[in-house]
Amino acid sequence: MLSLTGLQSMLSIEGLKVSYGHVEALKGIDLEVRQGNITAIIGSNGAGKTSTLMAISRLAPITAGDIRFEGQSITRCRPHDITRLGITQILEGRQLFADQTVEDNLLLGGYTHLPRHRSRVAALMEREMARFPILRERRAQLAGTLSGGEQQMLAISRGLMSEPRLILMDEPSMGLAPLIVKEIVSTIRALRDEGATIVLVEQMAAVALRLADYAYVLENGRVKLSGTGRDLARTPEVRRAYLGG
Amino acid sequence: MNSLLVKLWQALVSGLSIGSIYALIAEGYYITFITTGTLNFGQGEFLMVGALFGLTCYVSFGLPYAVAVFAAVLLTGAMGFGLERVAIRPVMRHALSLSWVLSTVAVSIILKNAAVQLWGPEQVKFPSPFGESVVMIGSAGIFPQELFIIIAALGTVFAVQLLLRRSLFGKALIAVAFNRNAAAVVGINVRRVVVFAFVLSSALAGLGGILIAPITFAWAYMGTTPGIKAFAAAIFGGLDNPIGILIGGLVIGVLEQLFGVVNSNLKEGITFFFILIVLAIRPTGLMGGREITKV
Amino acid sequence: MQLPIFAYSGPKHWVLFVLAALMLALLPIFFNDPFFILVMQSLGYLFIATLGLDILVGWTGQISLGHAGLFAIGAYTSALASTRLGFPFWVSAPFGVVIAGLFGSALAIPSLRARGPYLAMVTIAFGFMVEVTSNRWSFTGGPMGIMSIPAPTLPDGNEMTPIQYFWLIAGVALLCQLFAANMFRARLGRTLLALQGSEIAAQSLGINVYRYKVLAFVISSVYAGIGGVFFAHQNGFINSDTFVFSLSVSFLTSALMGGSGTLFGPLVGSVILNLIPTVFAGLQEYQLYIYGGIILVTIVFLPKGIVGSLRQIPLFHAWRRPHATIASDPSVLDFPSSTVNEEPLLAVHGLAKNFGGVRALSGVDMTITRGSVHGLIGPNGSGKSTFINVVTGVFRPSAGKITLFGNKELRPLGPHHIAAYGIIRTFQNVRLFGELSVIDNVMVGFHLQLKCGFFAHLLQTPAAVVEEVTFRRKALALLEFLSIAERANEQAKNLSYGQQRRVEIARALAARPQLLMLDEPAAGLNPTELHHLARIISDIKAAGVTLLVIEHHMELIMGISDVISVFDFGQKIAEGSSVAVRQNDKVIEAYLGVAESHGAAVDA
Repeated sequence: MLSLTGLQSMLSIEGLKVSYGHVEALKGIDLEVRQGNITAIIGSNGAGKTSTLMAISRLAPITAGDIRFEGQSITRCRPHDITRLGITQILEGRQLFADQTVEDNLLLGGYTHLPRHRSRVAALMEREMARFPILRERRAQLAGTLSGGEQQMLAISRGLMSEPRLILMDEPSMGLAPLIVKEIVSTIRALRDEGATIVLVEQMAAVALRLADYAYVLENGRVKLSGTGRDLARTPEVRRAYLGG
Repeated sequence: MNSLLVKLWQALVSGLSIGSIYALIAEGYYITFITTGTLNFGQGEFLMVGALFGLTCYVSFGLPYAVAVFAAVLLTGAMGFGLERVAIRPVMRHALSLSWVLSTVAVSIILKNAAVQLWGPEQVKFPSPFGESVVMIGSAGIFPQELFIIIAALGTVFAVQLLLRRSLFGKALIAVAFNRNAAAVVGINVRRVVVFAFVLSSALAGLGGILIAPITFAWAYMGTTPGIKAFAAAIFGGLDNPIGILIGGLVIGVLEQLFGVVNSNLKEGITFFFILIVLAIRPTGLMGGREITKV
Repeated sequence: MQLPIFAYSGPKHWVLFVLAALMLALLPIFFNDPFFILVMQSLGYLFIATLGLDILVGWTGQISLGHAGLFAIGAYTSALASTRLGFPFWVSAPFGVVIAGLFGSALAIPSLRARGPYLAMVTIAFGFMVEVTSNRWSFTGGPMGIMSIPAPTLPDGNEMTPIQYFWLIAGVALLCQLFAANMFRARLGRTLLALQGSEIAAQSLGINVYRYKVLAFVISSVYAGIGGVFFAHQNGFINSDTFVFSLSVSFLTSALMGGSGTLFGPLVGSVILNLIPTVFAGLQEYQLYIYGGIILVTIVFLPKGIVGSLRQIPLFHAWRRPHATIASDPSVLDFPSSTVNEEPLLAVHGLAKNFGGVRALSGVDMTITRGSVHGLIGPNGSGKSTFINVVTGVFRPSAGKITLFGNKELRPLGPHHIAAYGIIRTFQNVRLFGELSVIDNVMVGFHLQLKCGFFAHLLQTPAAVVEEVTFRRKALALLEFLSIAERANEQAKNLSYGQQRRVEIARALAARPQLLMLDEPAAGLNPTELHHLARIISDIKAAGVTLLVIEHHMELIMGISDVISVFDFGQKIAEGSSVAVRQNDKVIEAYLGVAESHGAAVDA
């Protein structure tokens, strides 16, 4: 696989096709995620960004192509195996267990460690509540009663509970106030600095391109452009389509 | 006047006892409905199998009642496993939303036929392990079995709810019910949860059967009506509301028996009339959640 | 442009029916066995009832597990009328059918708002109530039922022979199928399948969903009543033992097994299922195993039923050759345009919408002027779709006013009312009627303009036939306008997303909009399609239609809009020309985040 800056390739996608019934959401994409990087996927609604993440998580039907995680093909895995392998997804729209408490959401986030490693899960929960103190404050509240920003923090923490090596994030900024988006952005940056590898899908291209080490632009189920975040932000096409000129 | 009061009191106890069986079966509907959006329309037949197999264990094999109960629950639970595999999983991918109704009904038809072949079509008396004599509470006579049913059935319903709320697996099940993808993403084996839901649901029906059989008769055709009435109980409160289901079962059971005191002809139809009224006013049950579709 | 197309043609199918009639007439003459004739009679009335059920289940998508109840009502009413009141069959039978129809319309009421298992329960409860009531009530003969029900008498005073009774049933069955075919191929079938496909989209085109559901219930119960009446007078005796839950199950199974939502599915399904007891009569013990087994196998392996699965086979399609060609009628593109441009077409004042604690819209003031293309942009979740939903009546506003044409205040009514004012919308996620063909989708758009009513279509009057052809030609013209005419006869769900998008716009145009609201029309389109879309929008504007376009694609929206409103967090934060909006600080902030001044926006 192409190796751009000498960093190890963690996830590579080759010729991936995803179809929902008759509708082909991904028509054959090639993509690479390098360890320790933030890799962004941008594009308009319906371009196939979410389908890419869902395919990796094995929540969308793959009709062709291969996905390799740390050298191993994962296209035949079941969704819960993907989590055990070390890949987690922070789903679009948060998708918390709204009727369960913050604490239970975190507990379930650590499902792959349970029931055996209870103390480890407890320690992980402490770590997350230290990362976002508001979660400790609201630990007994139902997840659905939290504000948008708090929900996003909980969603991220829930994802981190499984101690993933690869984190997929689907539109973490959606529906959030600019101030909160700033916080989320710095959280994502901090995670990368801690050594995490992140795939970030965003509709707000500016946010994504500012964060990304490398980025892919999807259009209509295909990769249209790719490059470093900085390079793409300067590309006239990208500016016109997503950044308003 | 006094005898009317006595009759009402007896009707109340009988109503609570059969109502708690309805609640037990309805609990089974609830569990499979929240996790898969489907339920076993042949649940009544699982009740019947529990009763008849339990009868065989208790009477023909002479095993203790507790063992017979255990055996009945085990068998029906195992059948639930088979049901999921044969009638639910293959049709879940179908776009048509009615497939599971008919596939589970088909299984119930087959079960009924098997039951007739194995146990014959006649009604059989199931001797109560607590004896047939009536216990007097005040001036009303009650069968000890009825009391046992109330305790055992309601106790089981509460135990299941506790399991769902407090245990890890229970929370995982609630998570699957709420959002499959999110549950899968945190590493929950959704398929295993679904299978468990059907095993548990069927086991509850089987338990209901062996509990109720000493009060009614045990026979191959005993299942359909309780199955439907338990469905009405589940609908009454709203299929996704566990409290509503419990109340629904008890209310329907008591309502039937009370109306039976007034006029035995009314007894049969009152449940259905009642549920029609409820659904006309609140289409998702009295306490059911409202559907909001994103446009 | 001329295209070969499945024209609405009545005559061809008469041939089929004449052949069938001949066959049925000769059948009992060649197989003059009393038992055989009895079986054929039963197949006849069970088929009629099954066909009626499928109108509810297959066409309208309403599950019913209480059909035996309607069947019973027809049977009991005719039986009672002929035994207690002494009516002859020819009076008691229609009477029974009418009463069944009335009960059907009553059953519709609790069924209208219930869905899924709740709807199933309503119908189950109804069926049980009929069974229990007829079993316990002395008026209906209690458990003993009703006896000595007379057979129909002929004009010469003699009772009908079994063969003649069979001919009567067969003739009525044939008529029922014919009427069903007429209804299915025309407006009613289309409308019911549409509201099954997407109730909300159907409402947005002016279809009164409740009215059509009730109609479906009535037709379904009339058919059930006819079946029940024939059943009652077949054996001279009925009791409640017949009208049990398993009969309802068997009706439903027949419909699904044959192929729900197809024209001949109920026939195939009911004949096969009801012949099982006769065919396997020798295997008495195993009959139910076979019955249950067949149901299970068919449901699992043939989810579309027998006829439904056959339709998928390419061979079948070759058989259905187009009947005729029709020419398109471009006059459909003459939209009503006002002489007064620049007047306010739609205005909202202080519009607000809350969902629980979430303020999806707050204090929105906006005016759309006639003849303009009005753009609406904003980040995801800023309330753009909510805006359209509130204006079109999908949601009630929590506060504020909506005014049309400068002076008419819009009261919150059902979503199907707005279409009559010429306010039509498309959806963010394309909502086509997937099972219908592309051209039929557009035909549904003409709903409010079709004048011929139910009976005209039922009997295929010349007026109805002409109207169908007229509007088909218009539909074809609209498809040409959107460059999708060559796919006219394909099932809508088989098209690509971009193509579906175009069909949806054609369908919306069919509704003769004064204001067309497009919700993210560019989503999922490639650059060629985008360019095409921009041209379509300007063509639509040129034709006299005012447009509101919600979009994320900046280049497109800036290029086509006369004025742009920007939403963020449910509020309008800016409005003006594309140039002004692009340079507006608040807009930049909404899209790019705090502490980004314009100019230095994207340099990291």
